[in-house]
Amino acid sequence: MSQLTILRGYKDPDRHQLLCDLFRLPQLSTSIPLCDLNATFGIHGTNHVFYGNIYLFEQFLCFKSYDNRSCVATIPLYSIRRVERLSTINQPGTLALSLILWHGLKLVIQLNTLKPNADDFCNHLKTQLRQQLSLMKGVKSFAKGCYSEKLVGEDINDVEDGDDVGENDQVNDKQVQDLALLQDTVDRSNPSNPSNPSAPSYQHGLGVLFKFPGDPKKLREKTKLRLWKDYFRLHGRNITLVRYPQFIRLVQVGLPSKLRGEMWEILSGSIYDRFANPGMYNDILEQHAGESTMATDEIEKDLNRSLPEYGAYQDPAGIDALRRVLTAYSWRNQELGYCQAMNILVAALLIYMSEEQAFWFLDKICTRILPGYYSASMYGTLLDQKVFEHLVQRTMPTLHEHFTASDIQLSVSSLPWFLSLYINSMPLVFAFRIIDCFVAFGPRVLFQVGLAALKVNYDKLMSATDDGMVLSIFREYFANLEESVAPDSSDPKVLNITNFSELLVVAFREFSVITDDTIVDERKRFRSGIIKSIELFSKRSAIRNLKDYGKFGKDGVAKIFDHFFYALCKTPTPLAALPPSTPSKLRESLEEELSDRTETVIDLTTFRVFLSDIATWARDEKIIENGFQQRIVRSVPDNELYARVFRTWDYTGRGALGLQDLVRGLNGVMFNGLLDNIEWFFTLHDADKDGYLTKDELVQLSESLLFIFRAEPGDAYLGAVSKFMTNAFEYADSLIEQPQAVNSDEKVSSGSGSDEKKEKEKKKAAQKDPLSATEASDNCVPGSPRVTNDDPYINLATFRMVCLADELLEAFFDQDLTRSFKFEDVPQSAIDQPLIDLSTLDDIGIGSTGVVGSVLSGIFSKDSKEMLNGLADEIGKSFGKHQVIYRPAFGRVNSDVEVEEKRRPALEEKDSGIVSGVANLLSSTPSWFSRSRSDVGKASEKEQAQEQEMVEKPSSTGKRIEEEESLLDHQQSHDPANGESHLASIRAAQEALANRQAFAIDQRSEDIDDEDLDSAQSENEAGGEFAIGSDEDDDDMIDEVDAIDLDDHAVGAEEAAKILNAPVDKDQRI
Amino acid sequence: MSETQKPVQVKLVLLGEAAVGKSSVVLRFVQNDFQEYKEPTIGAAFLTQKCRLEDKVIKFEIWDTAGQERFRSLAPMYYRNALSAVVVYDITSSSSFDKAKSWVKELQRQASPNVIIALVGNKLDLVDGSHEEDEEGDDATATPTAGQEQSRAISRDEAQAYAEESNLLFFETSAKTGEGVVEVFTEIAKKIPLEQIVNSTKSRAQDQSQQNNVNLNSNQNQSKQVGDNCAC
Repeated sequence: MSQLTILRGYKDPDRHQLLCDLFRLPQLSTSIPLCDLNATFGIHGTNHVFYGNIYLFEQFLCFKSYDNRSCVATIPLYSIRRVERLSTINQPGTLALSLILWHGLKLVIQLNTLKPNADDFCNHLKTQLRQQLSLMKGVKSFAKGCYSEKLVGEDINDVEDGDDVGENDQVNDKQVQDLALLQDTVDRSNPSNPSNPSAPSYQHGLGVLFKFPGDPKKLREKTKLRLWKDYFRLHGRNITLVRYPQFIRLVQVGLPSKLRGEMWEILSGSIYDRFANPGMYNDILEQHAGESTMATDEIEKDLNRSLPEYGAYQDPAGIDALRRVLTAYSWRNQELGYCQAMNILVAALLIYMSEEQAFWFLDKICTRILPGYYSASMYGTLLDQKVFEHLVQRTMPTLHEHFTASDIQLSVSSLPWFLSLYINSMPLVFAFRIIDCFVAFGPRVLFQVGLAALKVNYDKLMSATDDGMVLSIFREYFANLEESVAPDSSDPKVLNITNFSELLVVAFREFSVITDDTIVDERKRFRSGIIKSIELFSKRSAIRNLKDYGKFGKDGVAKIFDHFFYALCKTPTPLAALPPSTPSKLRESLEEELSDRTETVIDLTTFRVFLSDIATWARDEKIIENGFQQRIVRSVPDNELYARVFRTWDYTGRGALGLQDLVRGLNGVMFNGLLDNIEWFFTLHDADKDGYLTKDELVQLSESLLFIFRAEPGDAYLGAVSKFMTNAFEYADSLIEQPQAVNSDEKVSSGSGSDEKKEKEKKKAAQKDPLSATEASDNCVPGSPRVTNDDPYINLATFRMVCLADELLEAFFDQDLTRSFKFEDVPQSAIDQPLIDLSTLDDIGIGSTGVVGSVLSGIFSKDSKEMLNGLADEIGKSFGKHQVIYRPAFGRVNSDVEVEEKRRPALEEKDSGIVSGVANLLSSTPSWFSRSRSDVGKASEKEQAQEQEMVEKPSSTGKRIEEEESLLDHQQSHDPANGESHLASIRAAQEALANRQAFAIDQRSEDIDDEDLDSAQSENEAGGEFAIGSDEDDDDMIDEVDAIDLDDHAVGAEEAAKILNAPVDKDQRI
Repeated sequence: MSETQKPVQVKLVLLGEAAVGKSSVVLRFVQNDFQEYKEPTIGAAFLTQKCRLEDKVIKFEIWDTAGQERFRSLAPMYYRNALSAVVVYDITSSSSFDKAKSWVKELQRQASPNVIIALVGNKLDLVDGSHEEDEEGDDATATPTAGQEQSRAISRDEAQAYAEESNLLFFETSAKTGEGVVEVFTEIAKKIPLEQIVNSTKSRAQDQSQQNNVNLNSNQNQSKQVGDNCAC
């Protein structure tokens, strides 16, 4: 289960895709044909003419007769040399074209359509042909590498005698020949030299040097080659082969060995991929030379175990070729990697194909012909087993009933047939003939042959009582395919009918009802069921593989898995985003931790979705009402806090989280009490885990708090955070004066003088060693460069004390934080209907109000729902009924707001001075504050604008911090001359840092209220309130601090020094 | 064979990482043979072997499964109703031992509740006797490359301790030399509650006896083919 959700990517092919598959087209930019017309098709020099459809694709011109079988032509446009318009005197009004291919073959196409359509077709054809000009040059040299060209160009008897020295010897040995066993067909008396200089110039397989399986005489190779030669002359060859009715028969009698490899790539269409990507195979190998992955390790294990009886695979030449093809493919398709059975398939292919041919053919099999067969979940294999079983039920119901009654699982026997394309179930010569048909006629052949094998052995199977007996019946049957059906018959004709010919006849006659469409339909029927069961299995084993359930228990862990899975569905983690797989050597040491090397892991992006799904504070939840319906829309905001949690939970430091990490992580917060939660939150921000937060980290922590409280109504939380910051800096400062309180880091020493020294040292170090500097800054939040220093500043005890000083924060750590983690039910559709595209699932609940609303949401499908929502919103807006409410994460403050409301008059009375002070401040800092105010005004009008604000908020905050901090930095570096001013700069930093909540407050006003200025006013009052709420002594100071801070922004850097002095004086009390 | 010696059928499944030698262990047991390069098992292979234990004859129905991780989802198909399981690892590969542990875990949770599990460390020949000093070597990758001495990655003690803790039978074998292979199966046979099976199959056989007459005969013929060279 390398990627749990990969199955969601598999879809039933659509009409166009099926058409492309029929023509064996390579992956085109669009599977929709440019033109689709009725036409009559013929080849100059043959008598047949076919009625059917002609399709123009971006690189190919394709024709199929109406029965989809008699005539199928795939003509790459780059093989066309000339197009002529034929006079159609006999049938006026129709348009006929003659296409002359590069080797002189002339195709005649009559378009049976109206003139405008025909003209349109011609225009498209012209454009497309022009685009192919560059490819046309390559055709000739490419064709030179095809045996068919050589065959057509030569006298067939010369070819036979010249090339195959060993063949005659073998024929003489006919008595000893056993077609069933490969080792007998390898000519041992005449060992072939792999580096034989007489290797042919065309693409060829190992069989040319190591002999092809089977007795060439018995297989009637010469006759077959002659027939094919005639066929090629008339009907085109390699890239231009046209399938005519006799073609079917030629394939069914078995392809001649020398031609087989090329025919396979023609019939599968992989030849077009090889043509289009010259050199890619070698490039992949070169690019990844010497690299090792799990796939390459697995391949290595199987190299000596792939058709070991065949001569080439007892020889380095064969083994190396096998290794190269499998390895190259594991690189090309990393998701798939390597699956056992591919080794057997490729070993078989390489007997007839060159490495490059086999590579592209394998690609075609894995991606188009048998998708999902060799994938990590082997879902295609399992699906086809289900389909096969169902076909047995349909065609042989009694046998199926017997299997059910006897508890016989057919797939125990049949799965290897499909997975290895019968190669390791039957003697090779026969398996290859089945592959001939399979490649030519499609996957239905595998089913037809399987059904025929059941039918032929019907009686025996009816008396089988368990899986083992069924397996034995087939083993014996397949081993004797060469035997005569009736060995005792006196009629030589009957005697000559082998079990294999009977099998093929039954397959193609009795089961001719099984068509390509049948298979497509059956696969469609079972697809989602199979996916569901595989996903269930993955879930079970993922949960079983967990080493630690924490306090969740099995059910809790299952819920975590569901959310994990859901997040992956919504926002899949691309493979490329994950850290590269560890090299072999390292892997051994990691084994302990990652016992399942193919564990599914997620990156930060997916993690954000996961967390937002579980924790109320980690998502923005809007309740949108527009008069017709009420719906809840969730989105995931951006904040550094996610990355912080991600890193903390990444216990193995691999840059990704697995299920176990999530379970451990959640376990560390979901069962916490007050003190645990405070510690948890502290640790989250303690990047170096030294037990102290630096100033930076303290600021970041407050940022996190503000982020968490962003959706709470009222200002109580803002006040709490502000108070927290003030207190934190105050206490920490008071402690920092005592060296022993800080000296966890030995570098930190007492006194301002040595501080200064240290500062210098640091700068030196930074200059000398830029690496360490960047390293350090890596620990910091991106966007807020390291400022003053990152010395240990506040420890857990102090932090705890400060937290507990505030009622709201205490409540937050005591209950709210833990409670904010909730396992809501993952939408059942996500689990039950695997084919739903989850990436579009944003609405988590729709409650329709009124008749219209419910009717509307009833009618519309998921796809159009988004549109519908938009429409309803628009209408709602026009009626003034559109309303967006941000749902709070904790909901505690609702009551608090009321309390505030009651308290407010009293406060106003008492502190009108402060309020007016704030008002003064506001008027003195018009530039950015008024901007935000006007934003508020706009926001209340336009929802979109507000959303924009929401998105911008975190980044703009970050920016301001940046400005502020860089300013401080600047001062420090220029001011180190005397200890006093250095101390001052630290103070300044503190003050500035402590002030930051002032921005935060002002910013809150941007998004919290969307009513009117009144609430903005109350925002300011809140600013005053918090000041009152904190220590009375500090009121003035904070008041001033606010002023300073605002001024700071208003006047800029030059004024900074002046500003600094004020707080220093003020803070002399320390 | 008298009526009392009618063989008791015991379903046995082999599990373990790819290329640890599952098929080779079976081949050694069933045919007393060894192939250096055995094709990987696709899906599963099925073999039978008879085994005499005191006055009983046991017929092992051996399901030899594919080892690669992605075939894992198929395994339940093969181990369902199995009375015994042999979990094989390669003593020169620590990852194969981890995989074996996870198989044991799966069997204990998913297979028949009283399944008898034997843990088998294979490829003893690679680290045998005279080359004990190689044990400290650092190259512990598992490949089926033959004829090369490799260092042991899992000590006998470690595996033994794990087996005891998890209530497994434990053996070290070499399918190549044949060392220890037969013992695995005889020890399993000893632990199987034969009487119970005989009784339960008898009652089942009675239900089916009429319709299955022909079928039982053919069954015996088959077992003769492979089973007569009983090794124990």
